[in-house]
Amino acid sequence: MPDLINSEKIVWLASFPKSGNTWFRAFLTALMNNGKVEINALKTDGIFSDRTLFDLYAEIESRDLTDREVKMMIADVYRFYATQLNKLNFIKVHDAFETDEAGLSIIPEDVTRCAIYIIRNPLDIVGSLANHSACSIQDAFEMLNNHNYSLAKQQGNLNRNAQFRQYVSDWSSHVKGWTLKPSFPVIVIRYEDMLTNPFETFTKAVTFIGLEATPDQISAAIRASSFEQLSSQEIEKGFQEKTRKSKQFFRSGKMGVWKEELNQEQISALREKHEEIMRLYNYL
Amino acid sequence: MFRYWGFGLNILSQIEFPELLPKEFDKEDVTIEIGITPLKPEGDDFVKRPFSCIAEKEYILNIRNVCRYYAANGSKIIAEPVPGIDQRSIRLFLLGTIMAAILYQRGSLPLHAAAVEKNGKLTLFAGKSGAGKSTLTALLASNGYSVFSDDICVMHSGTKDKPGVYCTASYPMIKLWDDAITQLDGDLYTRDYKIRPELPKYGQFFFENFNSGQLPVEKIFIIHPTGLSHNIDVIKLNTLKSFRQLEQQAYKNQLILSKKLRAVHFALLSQLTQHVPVYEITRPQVGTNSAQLFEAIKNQL
Repeated sequence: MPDLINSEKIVWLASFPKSGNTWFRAFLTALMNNGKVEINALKTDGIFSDRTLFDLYAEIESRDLTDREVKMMIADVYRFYATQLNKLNFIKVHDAFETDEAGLSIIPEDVTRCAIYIIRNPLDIVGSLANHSACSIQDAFEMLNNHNYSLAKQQGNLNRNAQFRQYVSDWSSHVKGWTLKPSFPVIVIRYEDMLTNPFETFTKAVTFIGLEATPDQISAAIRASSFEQLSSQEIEKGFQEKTRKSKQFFRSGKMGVWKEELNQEQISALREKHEEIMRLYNYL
Repeated sequence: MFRYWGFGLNILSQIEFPELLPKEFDKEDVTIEIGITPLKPEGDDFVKRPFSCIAEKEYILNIRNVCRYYAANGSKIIAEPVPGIDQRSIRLFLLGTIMAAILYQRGSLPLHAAAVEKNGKLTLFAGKSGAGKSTLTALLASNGYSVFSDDICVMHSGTKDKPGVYCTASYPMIKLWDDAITQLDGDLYTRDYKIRPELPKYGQFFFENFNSGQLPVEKIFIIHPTGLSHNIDVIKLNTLKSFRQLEQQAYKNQLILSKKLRAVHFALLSQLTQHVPVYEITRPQVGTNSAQLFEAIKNQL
């Protein structure tokens, strides 16, 4: 582990939903845990939108707050949380890199070491998102294009799920927000490179974070966190992060499945709407 | 000034509290006033947290855009509301975290639990917010039980002559989300009193049947939603597990600073786990309702 000479103790594992975030967390778990992964006990440090951590440090019931109020307080909660840490924390986040009502970033940049931004071909996200959300391909397609897309959205101003509402935005805006706005270093890791060139890709991420790991340790962690390993664990023991409605969290893990899943109209529309970012990351 | 009973205490307040039980008394235990709160606790021995400062006998909490609160020596609360803020918001946080701070300063143990009463004995439902305590309590009120307390129960140890553990209610109001009211029998609960203007959560008053006495605790259920559960399971915990689980159920236990207070709680929880059976209910994170919970526990009730 690198020395912690300052308060920059958080590494954000940021992504649009269904882009490989859990896979990356499984890899980090294996790396920090002598090559072992238990999918229901990932060794990374939770999700930004977790209500429990907020309630612990804010000392009030966040269910008594509106989501708007939570968003105005959450950066300070994590700022304080960072002061309590004696090691780097890896925190998953799907929220868009956005500001609260007062114009302040909801992500506390001053206590951030860096972010790993995991990006995946939006055409492949559609099917995965449909499976995860137990919705149609068309509905998932619309989520990727919807500037108001949120996770854990709660009807009628409710704010009481285990996770806070996460404003995600559309796919291009999410990528742009996390790659252009932060004042801390961000590395973009392509899901497809994790799949086709795992050793080089994971080594790049490990080096960027500043973790010390030998090539053998990285290779062992890649093997332990392979799709087959994670999927077979889910079949055997279940996965607590699977949504209630979806059949299986780890679905196919492949790239290019969009060719069988999307119709021509959906493919063209996605390419057109997200052309700039898709081109930038070699998806076109 | 207004005079009330709440959490087992006589409260003299500059703020009107429709939630608390009006009561005449000679001497107050706690005063509540509107005023200027100190910038920090008096001594230098305090802990600073994101929105609070805490010392053994002082607590300052600042809820941005709502109110800044000061609680001291288990007997004094000052509220400094943000201009224009509604009264309900001021009262809601005061009746939660701030009263917990007062109770801890007095050496009490407020348990994060709802309670129902039958034949003069209490069944407690502990668990974090969102576990389903209030809705289950409301459901039991239509099944032969009386609501005793919502959200917080103040624990007391028994004596040699009166063994066991006893409990005092917080105040005669139960809070239900909009959809819980729909789920429960519609005639009993209303949407007349929003606990905060922007929240679809409603206070239900039960002044008529309210019991402000200390009643013995007969059994405790700890409700524990988990992402891994597919079913509702109820298991009886052994003494050690009961102790460990109940320790986590102290309301806002991050406000407990002193070793002395921990020792008092240790003694009380030891007594509790010796005298009272404790059951753990694990249930799926989403997709269960209070009727299913009731069905799962009715053999143990």
